[in-house]
Amino acid sequence: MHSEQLLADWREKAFRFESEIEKAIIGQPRAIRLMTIAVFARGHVLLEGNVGVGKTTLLRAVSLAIGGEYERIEGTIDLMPADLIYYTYLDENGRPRVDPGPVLKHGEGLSTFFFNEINRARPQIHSLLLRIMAERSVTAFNREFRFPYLQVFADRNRVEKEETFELPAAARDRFLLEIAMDYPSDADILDQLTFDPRYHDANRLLGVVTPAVLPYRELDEIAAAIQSGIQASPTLRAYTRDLWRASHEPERFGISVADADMSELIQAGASPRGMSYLIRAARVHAWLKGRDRVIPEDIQGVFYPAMAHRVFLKPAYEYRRDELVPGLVDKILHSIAAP
Amino acid sequence: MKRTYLAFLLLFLGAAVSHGGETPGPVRDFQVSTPRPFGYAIGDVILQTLNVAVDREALLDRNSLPPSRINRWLELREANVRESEHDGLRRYSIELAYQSFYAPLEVKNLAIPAFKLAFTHGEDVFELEVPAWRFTTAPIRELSILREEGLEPMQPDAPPALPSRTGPLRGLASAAAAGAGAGLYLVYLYGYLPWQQRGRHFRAACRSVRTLSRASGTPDYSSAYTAIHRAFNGVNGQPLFSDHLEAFFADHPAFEPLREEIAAFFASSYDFFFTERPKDKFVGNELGPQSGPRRGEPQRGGAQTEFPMPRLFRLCRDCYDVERNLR
Repeated sequence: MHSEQLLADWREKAFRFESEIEKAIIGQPRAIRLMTIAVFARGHVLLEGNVGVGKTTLLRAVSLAIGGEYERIEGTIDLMPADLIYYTYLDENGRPRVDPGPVLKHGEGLSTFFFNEINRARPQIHSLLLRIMAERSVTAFNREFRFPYLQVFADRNRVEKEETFELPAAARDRFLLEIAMDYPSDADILDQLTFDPRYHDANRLLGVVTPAVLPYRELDEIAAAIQSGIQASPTLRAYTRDLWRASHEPERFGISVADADMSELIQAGASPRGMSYLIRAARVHAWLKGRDRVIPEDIQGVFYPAMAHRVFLKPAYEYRRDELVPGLVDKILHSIAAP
Repeated sequence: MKRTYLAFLLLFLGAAVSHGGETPGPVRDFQVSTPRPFGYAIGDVILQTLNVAVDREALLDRNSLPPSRINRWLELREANVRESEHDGLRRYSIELAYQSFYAPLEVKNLAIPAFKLAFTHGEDVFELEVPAWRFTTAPIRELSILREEGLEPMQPDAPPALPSRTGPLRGLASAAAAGAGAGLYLVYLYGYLPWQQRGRHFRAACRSVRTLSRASGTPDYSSAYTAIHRAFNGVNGQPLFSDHLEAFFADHPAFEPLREEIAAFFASSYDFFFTERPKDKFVGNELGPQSGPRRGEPQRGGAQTEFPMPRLFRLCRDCYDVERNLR
């Protein structure tokens, strides 16, 4: 009973968190819901969207509402791992100084780390990020720095391909969700974004977000309570297994995508880690819906953002990824029955 | 006289065997077998067999056989040489098939030209002359003489009598009937017949639920729910989930009168399948058909709805009635 009460209380906090973000971000309810899911599943997020849709503003609003320290870095082709860890300069006395870089500067309090345009950074940066994401720690100055509350958000520019480094499969797999942000289609919202001076200055806009709605130091605990408190029945497990198999061998489930040889399409489907992330996110989804059990709709609600970036196509089809993967995921969801 | 008689006899037997002329030293025996020397027309094939026995050391030079085009009217169609050794002799049996293309206007004497078979005997080469063979050939068209004598001109060949078609036709008809029957049966088994198509999903579900409700022991709700879900999936064309019920009713307005019952069924099914609890504790209300709320009546609250077998069957039957009248 105690844990049910705890979950209910936290659900209220989660809704408050969402409504705080909605004060600053309009027309993106799905992205905000997925952000909330990622926060309560304690997973890292890859944001994808065109320029100017409000990715940075959303992240700043999230980090404000979570509380804790926020750090942001821009991915560039000459960025090296050392640039994240320390920086050197001459102080006012002309002496060389070495100070902690953006990752280390806030110490344990770092709760949100935003990596802008991650695909512009080199693979060395990707591998450092991999370690930070997987272990929430980094070694520097002969000791280990730990970031127990860290959540990494990265953003991938999908417009340009020149001078970019595609994220390796291992790095992509470590992101819980890949959230796509599109331009809002609603005319009212577009009008507001265009004409309302409120949305012209991001700093002023973020001023309305109440900081630290969620105590970030308690998030790990409540995340664990959600994962243990929300049930997943054997039927649901079987359904998830079928979805997983279908992501590996769609042709066995009679799934086909236009203009693609299904036996030659998939290089690798979702990993076991990917499936565990899917269930983590689905449990949070169920919890936010006020359920004590996961139902297929919860899986479906997070399936695309949790799985689409984990399906690896064969090279011949990779360049048509943007066109093929949504169709494939859609077909999988519409072909697998439960029960 | 006796000799002439014998010659005629041989001629009428249809074959003649004659010895060749002078034979060289190593040749022990030489015979030419020929068919009748008359009664040939254009295009006929004349078979001639040469049997030669030579010393074992002698070998036939096969190049000495006649060429395929002998002259303007005669061709050699085939030449088969069989070789065997017997009694210290090498025996050759040479079968020559000539074809005559001579078109005579009257009965005419012709001859297959003589030629020489060459043999090698160690270093030596010797030849064996095959004599020319004379035969008569006749025209195959009517001759003016015949008409002048008042005889009938040449008649076309009598058409062949057609064999009876009755047997094969009957066989074909019965095979076609058997094939069509087998095809129909297959179509029936696959359920492709038009009247089978109508209401097929819920008919199958009704059958399963009826069988399950008649089974003794703990009712198998899992299979019963699954059967009904399959029927809904079938009608929907893809898996139907609780969230998509609104779209389902929009696409299939015929199910609208059953909305409450279907929604209650989905709620109950989700409760049954997606709650982690021992399945055997989920026992439907087995008081009989009267125990469940009737269609249209308000359901007992959401996820707690229990569907006993009779209610499941009633839902199935109602849905079957709707599905049967679709389209």
